Amino acid sequence: MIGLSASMVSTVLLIGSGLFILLVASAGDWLFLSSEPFEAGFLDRLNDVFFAKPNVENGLTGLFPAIVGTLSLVMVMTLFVAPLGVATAIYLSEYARDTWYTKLIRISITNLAGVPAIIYGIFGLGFFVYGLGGQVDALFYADRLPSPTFGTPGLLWAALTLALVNLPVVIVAVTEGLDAVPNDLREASIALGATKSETVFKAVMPAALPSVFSGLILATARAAGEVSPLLLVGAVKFSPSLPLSSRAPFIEFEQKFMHLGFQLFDAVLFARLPPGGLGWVACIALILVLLIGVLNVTAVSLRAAVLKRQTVENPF
Amino acid sequence: MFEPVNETEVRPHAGEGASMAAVSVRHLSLGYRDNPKALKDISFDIPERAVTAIIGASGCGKSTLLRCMNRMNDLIEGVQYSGEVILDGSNILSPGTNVTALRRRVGMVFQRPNPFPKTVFENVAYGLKLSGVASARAQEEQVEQALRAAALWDEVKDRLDDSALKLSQGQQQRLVIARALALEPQVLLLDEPASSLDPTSTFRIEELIYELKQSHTIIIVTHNMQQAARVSDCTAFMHGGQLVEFGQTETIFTFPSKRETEDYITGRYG
Amino acid sequence: MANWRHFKSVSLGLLIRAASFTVIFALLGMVVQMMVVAAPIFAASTLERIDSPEGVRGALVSRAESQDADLTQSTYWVSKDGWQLQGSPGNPWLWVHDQTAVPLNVRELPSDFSIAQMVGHQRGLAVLVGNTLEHFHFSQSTSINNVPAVERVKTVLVGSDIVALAGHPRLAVVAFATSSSEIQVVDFRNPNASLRIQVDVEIDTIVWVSPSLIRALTPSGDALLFVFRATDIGGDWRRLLSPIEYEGYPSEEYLWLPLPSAQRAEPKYSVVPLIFGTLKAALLALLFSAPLSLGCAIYVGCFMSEAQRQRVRPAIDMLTAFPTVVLGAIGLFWLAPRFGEFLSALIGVIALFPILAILGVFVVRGLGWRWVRHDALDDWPLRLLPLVLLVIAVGAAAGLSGAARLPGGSLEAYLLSSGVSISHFNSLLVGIVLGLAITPTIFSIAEEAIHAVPRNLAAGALALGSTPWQGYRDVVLPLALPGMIAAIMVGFGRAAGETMILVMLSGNTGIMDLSIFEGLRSVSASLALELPEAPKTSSHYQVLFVMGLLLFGLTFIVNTVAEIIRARVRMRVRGL
Repeated sequence: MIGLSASMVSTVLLIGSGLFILLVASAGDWLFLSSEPFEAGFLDRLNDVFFAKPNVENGLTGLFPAIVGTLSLVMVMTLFVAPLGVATAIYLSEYARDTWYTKLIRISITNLAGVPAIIYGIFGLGFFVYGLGGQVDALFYADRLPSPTFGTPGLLWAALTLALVNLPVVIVAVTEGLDAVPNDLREASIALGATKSETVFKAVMPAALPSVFSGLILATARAAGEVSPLLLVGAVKFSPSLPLSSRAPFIEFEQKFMHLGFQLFDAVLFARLPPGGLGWVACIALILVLLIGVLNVTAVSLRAAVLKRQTVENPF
Repeated sequence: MFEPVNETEVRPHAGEGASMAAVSVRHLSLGYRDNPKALKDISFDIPERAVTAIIGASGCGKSTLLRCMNRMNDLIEGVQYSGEVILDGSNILSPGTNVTALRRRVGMVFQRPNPFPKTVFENVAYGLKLSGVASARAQEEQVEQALRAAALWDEVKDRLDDSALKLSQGQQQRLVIARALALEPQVLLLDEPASSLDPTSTFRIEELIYELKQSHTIIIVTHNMQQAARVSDCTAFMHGGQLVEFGQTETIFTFPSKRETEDYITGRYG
Repeated sequence: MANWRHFKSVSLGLLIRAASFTVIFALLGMVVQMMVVAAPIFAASTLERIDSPEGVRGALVSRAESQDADLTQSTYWVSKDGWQLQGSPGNPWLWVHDQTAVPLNVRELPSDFSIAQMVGHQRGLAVLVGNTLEHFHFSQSTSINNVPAVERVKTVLVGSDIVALAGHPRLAVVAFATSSSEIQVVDFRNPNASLRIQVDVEIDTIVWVSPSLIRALTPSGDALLFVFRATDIGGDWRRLLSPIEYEGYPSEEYLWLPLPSAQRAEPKYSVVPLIFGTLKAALLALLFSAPLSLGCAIYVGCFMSEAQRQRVRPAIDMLTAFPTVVLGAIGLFWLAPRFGEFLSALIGVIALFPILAILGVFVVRGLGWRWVRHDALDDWPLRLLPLVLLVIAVGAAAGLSGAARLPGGSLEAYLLSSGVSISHFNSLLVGIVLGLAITPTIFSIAEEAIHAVPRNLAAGALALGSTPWQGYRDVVLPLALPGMIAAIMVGFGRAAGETMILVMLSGNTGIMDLSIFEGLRSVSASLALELPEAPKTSSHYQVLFVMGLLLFGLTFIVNTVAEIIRARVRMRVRGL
């Protein structure tokens, strides 16, 4: 039986690496070996993958706008998630009294982390896009109505929705980090005459910082790979311009944007792929997997560093 | 090296090579990844039907030495043995040893009582079932015998079907001893069996050890100097992975031949 | 100085409270907002008199236009396929074919009626017999010799004499005026809730101007206007869950057709097929994922050293680096096109894996290679990697060659010959890929549960001469079992809510078929595909929100129960 369960571990490792090899092989085969659909060398091919002009017939576009779109989405989302998530975690762990309703809120938030993202998506559509967006349009962009400015899916609403998806994850991670900080530290700080906020921000937070970062990075990794809410609140197959601008605040919040995951979904389901399209799909998938993989590895190694430090600090 | 003096009778089936010794340790060294020299060249003979205490400061390797006797060290990653531990004339450290069978011959009791979350009866019968005692009748007989031997029978005979976790700590520890005794082991290893118990329970365990040594070879690791002095016939003093001194308990405690032993016993360190 | 510090502390505290209350209210308010959006679907229908038709869409029609469908004077009704239905009070109803002119008696229809009117998009029949209003519709599939059959759907008792009756152009709804000057609307979808308004004048004609506007005329030619408002489920929530006898369908059915192909047809909102699809996909996913992930959890939780565990856990978690959209794409491009071969290979692997793996380990150990030892459990998964690869290859080859020997030469052909066809998008494919997606979740939680059991319990069993497996099986696993069940529950919740894989691989066909070779449509996929298209005040939109709430409730409850189980296990284990 030990052999069987050990083989299962091996199997899972094999499946993971097998999938990865499959993607690498398909992408590499197309990039290096095949002559379809471009009669060009590897560098030209690579150039095409990233910077090709959108092809109306098969809907394939260079990946660069999608990469930019994904990164801006993740960035804007982090802008919302980081302060709000950390503040909520600090409140729950440091400020709130330990009553039944605090416990209830904590359990609810833990369970919200397991609620599927599509649910947040429909809330985002109903509340942000139709509700808030409609209001903003009526107040500030009345001259452009009835064509909506903010009352339609866009970058801001997508980022806010993804922020909601990831808030519970971040709150749980940071709360766990804060709870793991030994109480002695707080008592020592207060005994030295520090105020509550000085204790929290100068004594407790530095100790919990790695778990804050690992939680945030995990959230960004999740956001980069989560496509289902975007079907409702934002991403499009092709956007004529990047959601960036030369003027402050440099990001156009109301703009629709392209997203790697959505691009993949769309290519797979709706686009008519040319010969060699499989390789193109593998390329998008590979970029996405690498992006998320790098984020995951960073988070994991941060957490490992924390664990190591903690075991050194208290051997028992 | 000090030869153990023990004039109690020799078991008829004991291996010839070991003469009066129940277990002979020969040039035993042990290392693992984090501590390549956990035990260094240890040799001594453990007398039969007597209590041998292993004492020493924390981290001196006394528990590791104890765990060599039933190869519980195998669970540590990357463990490396050299030397021999001879039980019944065969080296139990040799790769061909049937480890599970060995552990049935060498019982072990841990620091903290660790009864299984099952009933009292099932706890004691667990080892019996593993070694193929299937008939309910035989199991009941042997469970009762073991519980009596562990001086627990009168306290638990009406609660055999209760969860073992409901027993007191002291009772749990005696239950764990009964669990080991049910397999009728030749050697019983006690790893600080009383360290987590209150004085009354400790006293009862010590009484039990005294009774058990009439029929079993007992090796006990302990932190507690007085306990070692009270219960043991022979004492081994370890320091830094080495066996510093081994001899009859009175001798060790009254006329230690090594400086470290004296310092430890008189409480100068440890 | 001290004051400034105090002020800073207080204001920071306030800031944190403000931010966290925002978040907590946003998260909890989410549920409330979704309920608010969804609630109108359950609203009862209303009938209201208005003065002018402003704001009510639909043009007014003249009195002359409205009378072409009146059956009181033995007129006819045209059905599909060139059949006409003719009837007049006192005479039997007849089917008459356009070309052959063969009259056929329709016995199911009452001949002692006083008024008959067409109703609904499929031209059902509302027939008034005495005080009873009967609703018939026509079903094609039960027809004999292609003659449409007639079936009675519902009977409603109406109180007083009816002077005028009009059938709704799209829905199974009739409006009528009584001799006591009452305007009533009967909704056959929800016949218990009748709507009535008393007017002071005599009414002799009643017309549906638009699906929501009724026009009643007095003998002198004055017009009264009434607005009828109803959700697409007619105020009866049971229509979401019970089988419904829809117009044009031979029997009661669960149907999800929010945008029916016939333009004027009634949208059909049974959520049952979608919930069925969701559960089917999730259960199939568990079927694949549970053995794999629990097997891994048992190994890592029981037999690995802490250091190795810290390395292997993230390695398995790396599966989460494959976002579900990528898994879906892989399923679609690499598995679906050669699903038959993949399935044969998979069956071979699953059948042979346990035997070969156990045998392989025995052989390797029996050869005396000190390669996999019980005292070096840490490295087994890595050392066994080539062996497992071999086992999988052998299993796959065996499966493929087995399939080739089946009559027909392949698994698909064989299944087809025995009456089972594999659709391109099928539940099994969804289950396999979805199972892969939830494996890291189940593994992680189950492994934590197992690892939380103190190791000295297992050591106690080992010291009694148990093998490592016996020790963990008898002592640790029973304690960790509730935690493992909780892990499976959380995995189930994740599978039920997963969207991308379902959208891409399930085929999105809302059929309720237990066959694992048929497609399915899940709640999550419906939300993702339909919500962007649904107008934001439509019943469709509201029903989708109801489903969102159902899915939310399901996952939230499953997670809460799992969390409670885990907390209890932690408490119990702490006492050991």
